[in-house]
Amino acid sequence: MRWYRRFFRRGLTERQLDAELRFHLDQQTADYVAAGMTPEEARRRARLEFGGLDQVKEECRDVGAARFMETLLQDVRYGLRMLAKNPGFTAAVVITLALGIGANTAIFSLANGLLFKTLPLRNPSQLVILTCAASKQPEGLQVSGISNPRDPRSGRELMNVFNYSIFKGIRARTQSLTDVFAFAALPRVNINDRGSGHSGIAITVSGNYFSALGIHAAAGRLLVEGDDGANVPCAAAISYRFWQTEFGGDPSVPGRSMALNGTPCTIVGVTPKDFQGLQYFGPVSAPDVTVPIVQGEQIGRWGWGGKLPLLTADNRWSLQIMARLKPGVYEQRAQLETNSIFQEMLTPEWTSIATESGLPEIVLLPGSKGPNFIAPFLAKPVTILMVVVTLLLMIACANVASLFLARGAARRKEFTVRLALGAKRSRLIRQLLTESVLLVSLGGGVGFLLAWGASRCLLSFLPSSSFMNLGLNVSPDLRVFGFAAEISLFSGVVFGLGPAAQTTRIELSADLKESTLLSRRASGKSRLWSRKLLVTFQLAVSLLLVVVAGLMVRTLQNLKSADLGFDPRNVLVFSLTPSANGYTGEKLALLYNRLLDRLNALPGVVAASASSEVLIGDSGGSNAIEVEGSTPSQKQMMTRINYVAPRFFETMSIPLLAGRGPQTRDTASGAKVAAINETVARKYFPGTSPVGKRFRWKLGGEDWIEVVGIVGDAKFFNVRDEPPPTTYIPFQQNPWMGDMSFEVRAATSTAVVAKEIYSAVRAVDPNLPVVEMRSQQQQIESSLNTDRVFAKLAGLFGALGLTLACVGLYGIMAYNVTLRTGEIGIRMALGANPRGIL
Amino acid sequence: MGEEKAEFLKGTLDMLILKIVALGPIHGYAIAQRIQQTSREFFQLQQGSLYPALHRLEDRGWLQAEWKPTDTGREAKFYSLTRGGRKQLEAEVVNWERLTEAVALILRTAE
Repeated sequence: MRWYRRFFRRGLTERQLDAELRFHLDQQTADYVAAGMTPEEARRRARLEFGGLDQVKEECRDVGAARFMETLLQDVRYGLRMLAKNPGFTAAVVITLALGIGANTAIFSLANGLLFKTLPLRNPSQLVILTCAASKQPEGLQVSGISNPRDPRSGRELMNVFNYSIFKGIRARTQSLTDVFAFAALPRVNINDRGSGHSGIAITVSGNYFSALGIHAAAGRLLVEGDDGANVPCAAAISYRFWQTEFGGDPSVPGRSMALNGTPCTIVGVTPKDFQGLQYFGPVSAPDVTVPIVQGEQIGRWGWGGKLPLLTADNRWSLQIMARLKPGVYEQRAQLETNSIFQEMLTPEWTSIATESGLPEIVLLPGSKGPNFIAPFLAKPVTILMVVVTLLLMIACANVASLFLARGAARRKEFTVRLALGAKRSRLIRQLLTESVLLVSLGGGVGFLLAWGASRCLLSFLPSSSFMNLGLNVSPDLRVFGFAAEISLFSGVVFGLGPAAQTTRIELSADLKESTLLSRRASGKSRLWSRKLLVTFQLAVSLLLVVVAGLMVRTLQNLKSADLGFDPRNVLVFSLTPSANGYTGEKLALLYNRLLDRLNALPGVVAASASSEVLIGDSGGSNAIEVEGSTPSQKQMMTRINYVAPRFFETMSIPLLAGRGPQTRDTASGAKVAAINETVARKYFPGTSPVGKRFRWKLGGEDWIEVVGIVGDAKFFNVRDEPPPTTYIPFQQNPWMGDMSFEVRAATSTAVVAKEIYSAVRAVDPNLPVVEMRSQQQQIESSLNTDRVFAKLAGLFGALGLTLACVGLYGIMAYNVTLRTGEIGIRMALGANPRGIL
Repeated sequence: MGEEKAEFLKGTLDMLILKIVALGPIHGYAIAQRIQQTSREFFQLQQGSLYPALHRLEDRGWLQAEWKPTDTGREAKFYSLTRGGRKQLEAEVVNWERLTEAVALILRTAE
């Protein structure tokens, strides 16, 4: 009978064993009786010759693996009984472990989603990204990549964009690659549909993009090869999210013609819900609108209204190329082949500089995760988090170990008795290990569930709200489960074994006599020492976490309460993209002035204005100034530039210290004027009153600009930096006047005003979408997102660590008290008062 | 060795059991009897120790067992050889013969 049958039919096996042995004895007895013995004599003789009956039975039972399973089952059953008997202990251990393992799993699932998960496509492992290693680029190329990846093998920085003819050439001639496709980012586009405007992030793709990725439409159809040509009607696909948020999932949208930046275009279909584009970062992430390259290059416009340089131009290197390796083709071979095609196609401007540095070379990178540029950005913070949660897990394990020790002490008598009855020490250790693995499985299970919930919350913690749009998938998968199981088992064995070994180190004679106080204390001392070390370590680590958390929270508070130089309360901010609808120059200025008039006339609005840069928006240009009549100094007199509409200082509550701010009369053709902040006045106009003085730009400006006003310093880029030297120029005098952001100060409720803003914009031009309506305070908050995330996480982990350390401290005190119950009893009996003992 | 009866050499018992079972289905008691009788009571077998050996051989798949009535009508566990058991027996016999030959050779030449 095989061991598993033996194991599962133990009752039957036992009866059969009995019957078999009894048959033997009976037969032998019968034979002896037949030979003339008395029945008693015969039975005695038979038993004697047979040997120890129970011993034989035991040996028979020991045969095979069934025995191992049986002991294991016994241990598990016994372990469960012990756990149920001590619900307090069990709960403490399970909760401690659940917190430790849960924190680890949550952070790991985040890392998993960010760094390891592959794209939700057909056979993502076949995908490769084409890049090229060029030590030097020729002059006159327009290169626009998002971020340059590094070659994982050599560490060289790689260029990840190519021009259109190289894409076409490789696609036509390659034998080792299939489904070669290209894509490039576009600036935001405006979509006008029957008098309503929408603004979306856009991407241009080659016609085979969706078929190469193996993606099918959620509604309508996706772009096909035939859409990507010069003389075909414009077609565009929109994302599921855009369809839902902008069109309410209207089923008539697929197939409808709309205007994309003024060009009529048919929305042919909707991309699937779980497809968020190929990239997790940068302007191409989660595109709302996908158009073919040839149409896209006609549609695209810069924020200042200018047409994009053509994507298909030879000197424009802006297409990212990806492809699938043909089955059975090695990456090496594909790389060699693609490289030879590539180098043959290089234009003379490349070959002319090749003498010194060689021709650029194609490098294929694995593309299963897409050109995922977020990974390098987040690898570091995620690593830090992993270290922190590992520390947490160590605290948790130390705790559990000390709890085990404490319980071991309580069970010392049980073990002593079992050892005295002949149990092997290894058997006891096995029993204890089984119990700890049981506990850890429980803790791990609860921790895994905790992580499941926590990873969702973690997402909302992440620095940028755009992560939510990406639908970054952090839900636990098999890899996460494996990770949780692994660390659970690891902690179970490592922190179960030590205490088990120590607990079972028993001196029989001494420990059997329960009241031998002295010997107990002597042996208890060394044990106590290691536990003290554990607790000290825990306290140190959690204190570290708490201090770090404290510092971070303090920093955050400081940043929040910092003097901005303007008043962000009750101010709404939104952006407009009229240049994509064809507004430029005079027409654009007219639109802005009409809108500003309307906004300022709204009830409940204190003041409204516009600016080229949002305050605390982490963007803006700068230039150096040259003050009239001053000797040119060596130091560059750099200043930030913000092009603003009238009433900007009033709207933002920036104090006007002297003169005036930009006004409606400061038109493009009028006299050039500027307002400067205190820092500019102090640094570049020392010792004089700047009002009435003139300066000009070092780069790109011949005209002298007159300073007409001085305003208070206000923070510009972020909350952290001191206010930079800032110059405010009337927006109509902006040579690149284009899209702007608007600021509206409400008297009380921003909610009511927001609604009125929408209708005001609609009244001016119904095709103009309002982009990113938010309050100035939200704008500031979002700039502090990273700080907040770290403060929150550090605080959370600090609190967790401290809780765990407290539990640990409680554990050692409880253990101490159990050990010294006898001593305390004697001292009480001798008249010590409880206070003295405390 | 004279009057002393030989303790079983380790591993020999398994071979003897396999050999005896190879003759046909047989129960434990009969195996014990057969070993003692055919060796002219030379082997001193603690009869109980036969059973762990039987169970071990069964666990390894060399023996299979079946409950059948004996001549007296009482049910007993009859063991018989499996295909694997037959192979094992052959291998063990070959080994044994080699061993005894070698030992005999040493004894003869050492004289």
